[in-house]
Amino acid sequence: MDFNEQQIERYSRHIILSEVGVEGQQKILNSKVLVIGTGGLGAPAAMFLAAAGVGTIGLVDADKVDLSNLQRQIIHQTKDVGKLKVKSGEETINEMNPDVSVVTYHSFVDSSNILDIFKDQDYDFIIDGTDNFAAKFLINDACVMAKKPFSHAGIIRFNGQLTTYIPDNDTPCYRCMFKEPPPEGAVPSCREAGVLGVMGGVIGTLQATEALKYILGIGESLAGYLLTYNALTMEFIKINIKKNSKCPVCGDEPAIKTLIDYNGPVCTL
Amino acid sequence: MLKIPQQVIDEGKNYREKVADFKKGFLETARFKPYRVSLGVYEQRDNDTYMLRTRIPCGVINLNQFKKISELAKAYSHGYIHFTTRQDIQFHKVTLDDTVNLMEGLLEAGIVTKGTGGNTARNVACSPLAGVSQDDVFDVTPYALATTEYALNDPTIFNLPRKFKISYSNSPADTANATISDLGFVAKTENGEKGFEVYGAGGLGGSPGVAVKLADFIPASEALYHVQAMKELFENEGDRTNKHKARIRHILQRLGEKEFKAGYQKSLQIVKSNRSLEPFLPEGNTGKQSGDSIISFNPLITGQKEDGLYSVYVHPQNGNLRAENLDLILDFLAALDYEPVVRLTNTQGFFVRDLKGSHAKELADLILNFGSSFAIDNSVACAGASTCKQGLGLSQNLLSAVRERFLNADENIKSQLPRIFISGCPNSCGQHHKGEIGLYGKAKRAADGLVPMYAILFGGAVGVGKAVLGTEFGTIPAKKVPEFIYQLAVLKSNSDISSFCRFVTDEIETIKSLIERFSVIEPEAENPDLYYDFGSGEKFSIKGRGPGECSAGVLDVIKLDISNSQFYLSDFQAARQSEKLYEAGLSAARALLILKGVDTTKDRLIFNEFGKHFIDTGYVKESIKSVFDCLLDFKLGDLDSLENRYEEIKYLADRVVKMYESLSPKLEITLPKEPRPENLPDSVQPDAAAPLKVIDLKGVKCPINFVKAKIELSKIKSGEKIAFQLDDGEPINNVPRSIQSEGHETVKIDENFDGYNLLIVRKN
Repeated sequence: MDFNEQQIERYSRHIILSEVGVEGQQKILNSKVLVIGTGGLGAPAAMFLAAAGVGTIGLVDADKVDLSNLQRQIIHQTKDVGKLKVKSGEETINEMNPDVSVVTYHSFVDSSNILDIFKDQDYDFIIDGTDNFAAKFLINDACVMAKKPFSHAGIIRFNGQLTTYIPDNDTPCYRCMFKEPPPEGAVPSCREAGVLGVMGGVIGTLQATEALKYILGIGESLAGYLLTYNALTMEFIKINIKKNSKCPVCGDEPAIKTLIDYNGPVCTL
Repeated sequence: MLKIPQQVIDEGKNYREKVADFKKGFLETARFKPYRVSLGVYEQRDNDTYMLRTRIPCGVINLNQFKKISELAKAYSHGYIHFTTRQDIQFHKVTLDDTVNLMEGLLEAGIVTKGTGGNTARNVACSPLAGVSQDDVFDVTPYALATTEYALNDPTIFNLPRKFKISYSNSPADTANATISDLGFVAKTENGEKGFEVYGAGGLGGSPGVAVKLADFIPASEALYHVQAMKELFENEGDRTNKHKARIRHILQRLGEKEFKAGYQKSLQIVKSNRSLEPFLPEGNTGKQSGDSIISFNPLITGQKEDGLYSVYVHPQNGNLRAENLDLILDFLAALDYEPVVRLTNTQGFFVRDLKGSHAKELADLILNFGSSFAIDNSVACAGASTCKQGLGLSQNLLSAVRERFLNADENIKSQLPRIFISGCPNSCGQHHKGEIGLYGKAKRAADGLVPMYAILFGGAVGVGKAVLGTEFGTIPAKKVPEFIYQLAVLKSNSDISSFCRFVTDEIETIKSLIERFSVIEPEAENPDLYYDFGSGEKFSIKGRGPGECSAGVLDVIKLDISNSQFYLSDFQAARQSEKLYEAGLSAARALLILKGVDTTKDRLIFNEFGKHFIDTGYVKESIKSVFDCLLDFKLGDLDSLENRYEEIKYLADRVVKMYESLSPKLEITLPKEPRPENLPDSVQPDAAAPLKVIDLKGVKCPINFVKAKIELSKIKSGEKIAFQLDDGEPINNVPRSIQSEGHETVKIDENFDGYNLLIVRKN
């Protein structure tokens, strides 16, 4: 595939990088990334992936844009309030980069549809941009079962965390760290606890970074590590995590063989 | 009412930012001027005083808008407004800051100022009594408004060679001046069908002329085809290089009537075959109140075609109305139990229409507080030298003096003369050519100094079959004009001829000798008053007179940039500062961009657009693109000196001057293009067996040249060679290093080329 003049200019700063170059940019253009949730995390992640030229971006969200979203969900504009989030996200991306084709799924993810969504475009990488434990466990389990690499992340108040799962029989999954969702109400959601708007930007952008590195096959990913970030103290802490051989989903003798819908609908941050 | 296009509204809103940029010095005077003039903001004679001209489309204004105008006048223009000879309202002596406030206030009331100055379709004129006058053929207002809307929706109409004045009259009496306009329509019916007689290429001002008839009858629904056809003819034939010869009437004068008409018909056929400009909105026919009949001899009151309804003409002296007096009228109208209609006229006043007889009488009495019912008092005078930069005479003061001379005159004498049309200079803003009596200002050098004078014209007229320009009969010192006019009235009264036109014809010899008597200029010692204009304590001079504002256009902006670039070049030669070379290159690159519709202050964009419009098209050598890269590198601090680029920048600046000088009347560049660069010399073809692929990266800036080199390298196999043509300077300094850092091998850098180098690389 040859770049046209506009692509040469648009991606020039990538092509110059010896780690990306012509071949790397072509990989990016040929890649497909699924972003689940177009909220605080998904919005910046999707936008940077689109800017980078990821050829296919899937957006999953069942919600409509609410005014209270706009403090952090930068893919949506004031004029979009009331619009489907996937629609608004698609419009923003289309305006930003005509090279990207956007596939939208106006739905919550649940056990019945998540694997079909993965298969729909045979996505190369999944970004978990959801805001609740039920969805996070579902995505984790589905990625393990479907052998899809994904980036997990969460943000609340001034804190954020992320890890990357690679289906290589060596990387711990989310369930290796947390066996199951906490009891309902034990951990507040963002809706109750609040979140500094930029947290999604910082962590979501790191998720996009992980996706791009995976696509390019460069550097070291966060597989095997949980990276935490505290915006008040400005500390990043990278914690080494071991694979749990007794993990109920990715362990030696997995107990979970079908997907579980824990509770409530998946909503996005 | 008119629907104003959004982009016109938005432009009004952007005005505040532009003014701020101008005040901060980001926007030069010469660039700001055509911008503000296009929005109807003209600088007046005193520093930081401006005139703002509104667009009251076809003179149609509602009472709420009128009220708003009164409020704005109190807040920003010393409590008065000025009515023009083109059915508009102006605010005078406004500070620049307040022009912003005014414009925003006007927008609130749905009034725009776009296109009231500059080279564009000005306010479309319309008979003020269209639809109601007793000689009304039919109401032309909807057609005039549709024409306005059509014009405002066409962005190209704001860049014509010069002004474009369109008029619609509702009867052969031609109260909208259709027979002396660039394009005029006069209502006519044929076999019951509504239509127009079409006139064109008329106009007052320099080398004036009445219009020629272009069509005996066209169906009314076809009017817009004629608007478009005349506009296209104007665009194709108008001389943009000489603003004094740029009007449509100059095309007529240049081509001759036969060829002009043929060109017009051709343009019309093209428009008709390419466009569909028909259906107009149906004319609204709102039910009116029933009237009551009166008997009145007041000339300000005109009976309408509807029984018992009347129109009252309001004429403030010199067209200047105080807001309090306007409020008196508006309050009176607001108290009525029906809503009368207001229409501005082309005689510096306005009509209130659809009044019941008794109310018409009341209003006519009310306005006598500040107006008069005598035609001579309701004369027209342009703004004149007190505010207008082109003005010679203080025309408004002259009119006041004439009025004063008649103040205590016998009513019989006072009613002898028709309205006078006075211009302060030969530019016919006071429409002196169309008056039965016309005066225009001149300056005459006498032994003791300059004397303000007025030329006396008689016999001007508009109308179907009778349009004619006034004839000049002599010149009189300004200070003697009031007494001359008075004596003229006495003469006419004694002659017992009621028609002024006949009086002039029959008594011309007597009148001529009267003029001669008054034209004597006494020495200053004998009659010092002659050397001072009305109301001025300073001896008459043409100090402060400047070029007109309205035609400030692209050529002035181009000239500014060209002279800047030449100055910077000579500055550089004196001081060897690279900044000067940068500025020279920037100004040169910017100069002609305005012809391509590019108006930006962003340096990078200026260079890019120049490349697109003048280098890619072959007018300027390709190597200038690399010069632009160096200029930008210099600006960014990546390059310390531009000294070794002097010759190329000089070439660029000179080339721009040549392109400018080659502009045709349609502003097209006629300069021959530069020869295309020669092919690669044989000497560098490495070996015939495996011809080396040579990639032309000349004119490609950093880092895109490296990006393109990488792309080409990705296409060849390891160990193969490829060559790149790279410009001098940054490209040849940077690209080989970058390619090496990726592990490829530099085989050779050949510098034996003019302005570029050949880099041969073996892929890793």
